[in-house]
Amino acid sequence: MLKSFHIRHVIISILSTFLFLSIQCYALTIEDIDILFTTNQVNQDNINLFVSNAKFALFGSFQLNDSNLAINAIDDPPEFIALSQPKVIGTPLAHPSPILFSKGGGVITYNLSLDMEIDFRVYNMAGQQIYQHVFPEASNGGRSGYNIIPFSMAEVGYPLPTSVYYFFLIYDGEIAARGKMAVIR
Amino acid sequence: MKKTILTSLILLLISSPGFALTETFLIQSIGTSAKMIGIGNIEGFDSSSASVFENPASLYAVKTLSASVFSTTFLDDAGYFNASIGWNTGYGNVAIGFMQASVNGIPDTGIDPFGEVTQIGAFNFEDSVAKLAYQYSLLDHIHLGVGASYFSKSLKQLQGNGFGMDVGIFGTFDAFEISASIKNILNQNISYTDGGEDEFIPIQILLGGRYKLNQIDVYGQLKLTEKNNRLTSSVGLTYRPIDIFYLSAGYKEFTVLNEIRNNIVLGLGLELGLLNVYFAYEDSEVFKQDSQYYFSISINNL
Repeated sequence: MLKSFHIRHVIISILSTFLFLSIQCYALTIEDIDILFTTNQVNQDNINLFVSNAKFALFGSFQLNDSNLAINAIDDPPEFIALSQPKVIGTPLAHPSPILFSKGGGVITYNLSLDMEIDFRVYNMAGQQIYQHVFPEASNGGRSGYNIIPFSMAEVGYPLPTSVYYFFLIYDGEIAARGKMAVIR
Repeated sequence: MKKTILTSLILLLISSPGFALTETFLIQSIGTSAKMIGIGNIEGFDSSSASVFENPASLYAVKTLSASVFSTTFLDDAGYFNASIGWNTGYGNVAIGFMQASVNGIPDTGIDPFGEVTQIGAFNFEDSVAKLAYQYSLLDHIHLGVGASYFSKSLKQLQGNGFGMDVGIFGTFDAFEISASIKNILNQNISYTDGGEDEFIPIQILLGGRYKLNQIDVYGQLKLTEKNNRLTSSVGLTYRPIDIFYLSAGYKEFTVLNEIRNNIVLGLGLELGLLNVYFAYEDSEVFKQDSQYYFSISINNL
């Protein structure tokens, strides 16, 4: 869902230089800028913002003040992502948690900055690969934005025992993101 | 006669009630000490209390008091650890052991008002097995052992428990030794609370041998596992250029879901009499992770 805010005075201040790559720390002041953003985890005190315009995305946790949108970074500095760079945005997550494998399984979800071919691999707790699937660019699992991929007995082809499993999202020969999930038989 | 015994063993496996359920993941399958991993996951030839996890009959090698510790980490996150202690009671040897695999910080997820999955918390997973074994020497060269196992798994609100029993025999005949064991012979299930389906604890039949040459020991093992009657084999050897140090190599077959895979393992051991230190190494299947390392220490005959 998109929401439109007219931002009077936005201060995002952490520490050092502003770069159009993966930003760890930066200082920036924005005034009177309309920013369209999608949100998740809205609650009373903080929101996780995915703020994007044509050129960049801002992903992190912020406090929202009703009268003035004062965005103060909470916990980790927000990540500034150049959308021209192929990247997994945020942390991929499995749902439900734990996944009920014998009752329909679950999904793995993640955000991509661009259409990307994603090599999806799953390992058990002993580091043994139990599943692999390549999602072509621009298809579900490899398209720009929010992706939801199924993970169930239909995909794996074998009942998984109750345990924890690790999944990797691999792009262009590098690990773009990883996550872990619990599975109940 | 041999055909009858083999047929009986196979019938024992395929007739078990657990055949229709999913097989549980046994954390012992990754190995119980760097020493045994370094020779190809061949069980039953450890001379320390770690035998409580392998073949209870092999505890005959504990003359007074022994202790062992083993640890490794997979995927920089999943921690494995075991510890054991064994002692000579004067009426046989007794050992207890505990093994645990754990993962912390597993994301607990929900759906936000906009329909996207979000993290709402975290929980931990623990998979444990506790062992108690007793060994008795029937003759100077024939040793018997029996062990009990308690399996426990916990994940969020889910708790699972199960029991097992192992029996084993170990024989020494000059330069040749033989280890035979049947694990999880009770053929019980791990029963879960709160909606989880039961998983069966597979019966495993292991037959291994060691032949001692001068500076080289050669090992071999056959392992038959319930469910699809998977037969896997392992071979290994150690080269001991001096008494207190050896190098080892092994080839092991192992099962992942319904597939048999194999790997080469390498190891080394420093055996200083009282204190022994072991390392093992193997290639990793994990993307961009070249290798997996294992480490264990044992104290023998304090």
